[in-house]
Amino acid sequence: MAIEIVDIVKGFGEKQVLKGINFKFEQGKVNMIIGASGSGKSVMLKCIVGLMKADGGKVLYDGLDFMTAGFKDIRNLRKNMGMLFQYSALFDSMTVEENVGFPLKIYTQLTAKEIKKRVEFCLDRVNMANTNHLFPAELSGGMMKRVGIARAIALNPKYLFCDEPNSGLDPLTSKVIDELIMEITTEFNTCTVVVSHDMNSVINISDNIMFLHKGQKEWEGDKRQIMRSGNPSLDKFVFVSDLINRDLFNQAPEPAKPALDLSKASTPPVAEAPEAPAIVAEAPVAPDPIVPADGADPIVEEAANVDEEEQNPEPPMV
Amino acid sequence: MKIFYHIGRYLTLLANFFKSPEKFSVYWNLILMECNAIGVGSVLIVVLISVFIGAVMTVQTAYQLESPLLPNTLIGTTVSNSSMLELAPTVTSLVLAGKVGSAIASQLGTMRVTEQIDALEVMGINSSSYLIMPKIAASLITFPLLIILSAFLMMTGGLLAGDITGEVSAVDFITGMREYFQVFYVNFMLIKAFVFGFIISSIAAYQGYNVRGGALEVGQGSTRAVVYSCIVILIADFTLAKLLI
Repeated sequence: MAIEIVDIVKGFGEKQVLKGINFKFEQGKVNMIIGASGSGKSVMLKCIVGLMKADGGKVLYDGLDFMTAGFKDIRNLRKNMGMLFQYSALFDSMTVEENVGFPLKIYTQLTAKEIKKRVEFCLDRVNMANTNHLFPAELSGGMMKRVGIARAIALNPKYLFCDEPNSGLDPLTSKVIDELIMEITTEFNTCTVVVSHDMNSVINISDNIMFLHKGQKEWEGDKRQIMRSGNPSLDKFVFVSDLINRDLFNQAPEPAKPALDLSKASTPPVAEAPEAPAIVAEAPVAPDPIVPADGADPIVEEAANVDEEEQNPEPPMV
Repeated sequence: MKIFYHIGRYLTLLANFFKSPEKFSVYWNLILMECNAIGVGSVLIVVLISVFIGAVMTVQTAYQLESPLLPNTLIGTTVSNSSMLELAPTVTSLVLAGKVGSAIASQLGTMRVTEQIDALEVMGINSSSYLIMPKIAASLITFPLLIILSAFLMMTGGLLAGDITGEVSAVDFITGMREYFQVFYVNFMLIKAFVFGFIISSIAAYQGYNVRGGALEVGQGSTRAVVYSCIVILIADFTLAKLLI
């Protein structure tokens, strides 16, 4: 179990936006939160990632309560989070390369050369190679989303959050982004939480679905169960368009299984860097479920090293 | 009562700087960049206003000192002392509140409404420390330098204007400047520079960081940053004068 929310309550003044919601987001799967505009999807996502403080309830990351955790625990947890924002939220004064390399620069002690290699790996992974020197203003909406995903996966996150990843994109680009999210979830075995009201995304990539209606969880299940939900609000939401019919859900691909194809992630470029073996050798040998393939991910271990040094500084040599 | 709410939030924002600072190397680069934006970027406007204020002061002081009993050296004394004590730090800071303050507020406001600050927070970066501290540090470094430059240029402008218009010779002007000079005036000017630099950068950062809404609110935040900075500068100016002189 990756993330569990328990009785999440959130209100603004007298208006209750979230009314005691429970759900379990599973590792290695695309967990979708769907609902109409104003149903509380984005507020819930913000409560889960800590951008908003819920009025009550618990947000458990592998058992650790995010809302009551100490500062260091939260900071460590955040290193394992990647988020794709609705409008990408790329730093507009930085180039694509600087955007993707930013978390690496902050959290690791990799050299500039190693960071560049890792950035190129991430950009290549989202089919954005050779765009390093462009600024966000020079990119299209779909390209910005892909760079946003590249930035989100730079530190090999355990949890990936996507807020309306398809908003403002044409259907073709939406499909590309959806497929990218699904592939990354499988490859990196992330717990992916996607907020969307795009039913094509639900059909294409969802494994688990939570339906929110007026701040309450009205239904949960997978896409094959949607048509048998028997929930009038959900039926109204899902089948409002004639284009979405029940047959589509029957034809939808099987839910993604974790770690099906690790070939692409098995050799992150940083590991190939000549300087990397030294970092790997010094890293604490802690098996990490987020490491894709053969276990050793220098990025994560580097970050862990920095943390350990902060927590247990070596005594000064006399 | 709302003013206490804002003072509380402002102090909390400042306290958050020290909660979880990032690596020093990250700040070092940012501070250098901000020094360039705030300091070097403001040199031209400081040069312009300073030279002309000094020149105008000389001409107007000469016009006031009509009595033959008053020596011409007094013009140099008046221009140099009022430059150091008041005009260079205060007037320059008021101008910089418009230039630097609005730039800081609009930059942070735009980052807020485009979710860039949220992105920093999700990454686990202390956004207030990462974004605001370098700006304040750069202001504390560059404002004293800009104000020293301003005072120097005011006196130079005054000297040139006096000499060119024939109101006071350069020799008389310099004699007057030296006659009543006290080191305390320079110290007082520098204290004001530090205080005003901090006021402008921190108030503008607070206004920008807490923008909610869209483009309209960014503009409003920017305007508030300039207005509040100017008001607080004037209050601080009076307080410092009362306390230190």
